[in-house]
Amino acid sequence: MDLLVAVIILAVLGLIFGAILGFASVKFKVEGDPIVDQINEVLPQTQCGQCGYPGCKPYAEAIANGDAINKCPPGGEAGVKALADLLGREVIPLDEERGEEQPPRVAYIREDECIGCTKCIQACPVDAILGAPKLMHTVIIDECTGCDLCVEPCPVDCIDMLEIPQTVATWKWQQPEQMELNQIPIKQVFSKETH
Amino acid sequence: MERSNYKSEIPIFEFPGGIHPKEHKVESNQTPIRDIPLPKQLVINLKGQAGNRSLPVVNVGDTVLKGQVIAESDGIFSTHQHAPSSGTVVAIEKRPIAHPSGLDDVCVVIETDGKDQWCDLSPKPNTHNLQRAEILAHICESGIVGLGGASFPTHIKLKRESGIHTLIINAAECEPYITCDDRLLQEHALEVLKGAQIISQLYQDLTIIIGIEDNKPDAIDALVSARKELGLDGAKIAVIPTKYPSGGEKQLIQLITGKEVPHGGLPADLGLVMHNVATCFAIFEAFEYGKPLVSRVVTLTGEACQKAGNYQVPFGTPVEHLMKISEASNPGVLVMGGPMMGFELPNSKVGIVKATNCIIMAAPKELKHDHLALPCIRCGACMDACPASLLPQQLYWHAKSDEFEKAEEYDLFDCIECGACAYVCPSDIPLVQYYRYAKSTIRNQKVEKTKADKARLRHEARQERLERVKREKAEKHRKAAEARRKAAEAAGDDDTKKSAVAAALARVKAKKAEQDEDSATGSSNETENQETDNKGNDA
Repeated sequence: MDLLVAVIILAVLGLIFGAILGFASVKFKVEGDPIVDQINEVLPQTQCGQCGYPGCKPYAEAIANGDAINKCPPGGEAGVKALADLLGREVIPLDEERGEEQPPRVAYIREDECIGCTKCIQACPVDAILGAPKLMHTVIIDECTGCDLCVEPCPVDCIDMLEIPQTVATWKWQQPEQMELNQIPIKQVFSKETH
Repeated sequence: MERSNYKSEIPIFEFPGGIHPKEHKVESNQTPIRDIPLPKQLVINLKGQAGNRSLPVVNVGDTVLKGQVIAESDGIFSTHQHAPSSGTVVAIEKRPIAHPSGLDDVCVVIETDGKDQWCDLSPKPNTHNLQRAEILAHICESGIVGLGGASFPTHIKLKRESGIHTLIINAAECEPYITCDDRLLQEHALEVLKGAQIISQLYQDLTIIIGIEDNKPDAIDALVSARKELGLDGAKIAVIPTKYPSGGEKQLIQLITGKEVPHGGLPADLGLVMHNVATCFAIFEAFEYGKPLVSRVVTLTGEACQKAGNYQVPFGTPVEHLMKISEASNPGVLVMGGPMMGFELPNSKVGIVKATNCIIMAAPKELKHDHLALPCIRCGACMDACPASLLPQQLYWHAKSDEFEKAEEYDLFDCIECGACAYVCPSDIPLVQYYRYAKSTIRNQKVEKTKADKARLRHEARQERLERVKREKAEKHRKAAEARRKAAEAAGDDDTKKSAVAAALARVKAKKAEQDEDSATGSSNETENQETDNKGNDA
């Protein structure tokens, strides 16, 4: 009799939890792969293809499937570190074959030389180039990710990649160990006794 | 230093931590505020305030009068800027500005003509007749920003009306060396209180509390007599013990109300609004005389400075001109602001901005020291000194190893960068520099993140568009192919098809028939012959 009761209780419990799990798997079903989205969030979205994949999302998918995390030069060392933190992997140096980490840049079209071929417009991964066939093109600086992809297709070589100059708004304090200016003002040497 | 015996009129609370550095105030607060001879050139930075750059409305070559608008508010987060003296605009270009970066930014350069001639002013002394919006607009158009150091546009700070019940006038001036507010109160307490009265008109039943440190006995006396003269008995004077950083907005609120401004919140969340004494004075002048904010009291001090004191300095006055006036010889370092929260000026050509309350012309060894930072010994002195009850050494470890997320978890952004932790550190670690580094890096990262998000959306939108175009093209081809087939089918109805086949067959038949006719004569004879042959054989 005891044995039967135990078996019944376990069977009923099994059914209840099975039902709950079944319900949860339907109700809380996750569409897509959340880890890919998380990786994609960390990638700089330059869409430059230096990693060998046609954009940041495909590379994110590749990383999720086990590809190396050091193939993104625009993300730089900081990007590798962020990915390593996210995925619990080892921090490794940037893959030099993929290119070097560079300061942020934007494309600039020398407008009087542009012949209006639209090749750069087709190459731009973020639609940051404005123009029409046989009319001058120009780069919307705020939208440009500095991916370089428009430079190569240009038949007249009228696109330059320019470094973004530092302004008061984008300036940041340096790590104190690397600072030259402004090392002090905080610590006073005027004796510490209170008046 | 002398302490006031005046008893605080309201009970005073306490804030945690704080330090007592040597005050160095007597050097500059013994002489009255003096005017300065005009410099040849004024270099006015258009970003001379918190927020956005003002938009210039003058051109190179224009002559301007003192008080004339040279740049207008962008309408969002800035104020007007005015010519600090009469003269000619000689350049609108990038010049080094008073900023720790040492970078250039757009400045309007005015060559003064020495006449210092005011433009037509429009005073509004009867503030009682003015609407709230009119008062705020006049404050904005007079270019008034918070003169305590942050230079936040005052009209924006005053915008929120609901729930505000107390105005705190910040006269604490807790940082060493600085005495500009002290002197201003000693000489113009009446005007400051009148300015506070104008602010109080913006709200209903506003209580005014003046928070002042007890190391300013003369200023307290001046306040008491000015209040009596005005009959402003509702205004209470809160005399607080001298301790750095009691003049910090959050600290002064805690001293006066005993309440803490919530994490990520504003004083307005507690029903409070705080303004500096110099801001109140500027508001008074803007309404009483119509004078826009074109100059301020600046403390010139430091061991290298022979004539230390407070001076009424027009904005844009180059620091080197002030060095000449105060007879500073070979300062080791120029600091704008106080020794605790100020920064080293990279260039003595920069012009004074609205936030400049003090220039310290320090002797070579006065502020700088040559000890190197030693390792942290985990003594916890910084934690005891922190007025925001943070854990400075945890923040230091995380900032140093670029673990910004963890630093944020330890409420890095509640740090007011007062420098008390670095002051008490026995290992001379420049702690605040690490926090500034971490904060500015996090801010930049956030900007980059928004940019990346935008790029991702644009890339996705583009992918989607390309996909759609491809789909549409394929669809079009498919439709075109189908249409062709259908057209052919429609044209080739059964009859025509049959007739075509029949015609072809007929053509073949006709051709065959022709051939048959040609060979008909000969061949038929042959057959006949054969037939006869066969017959003959049979026989």
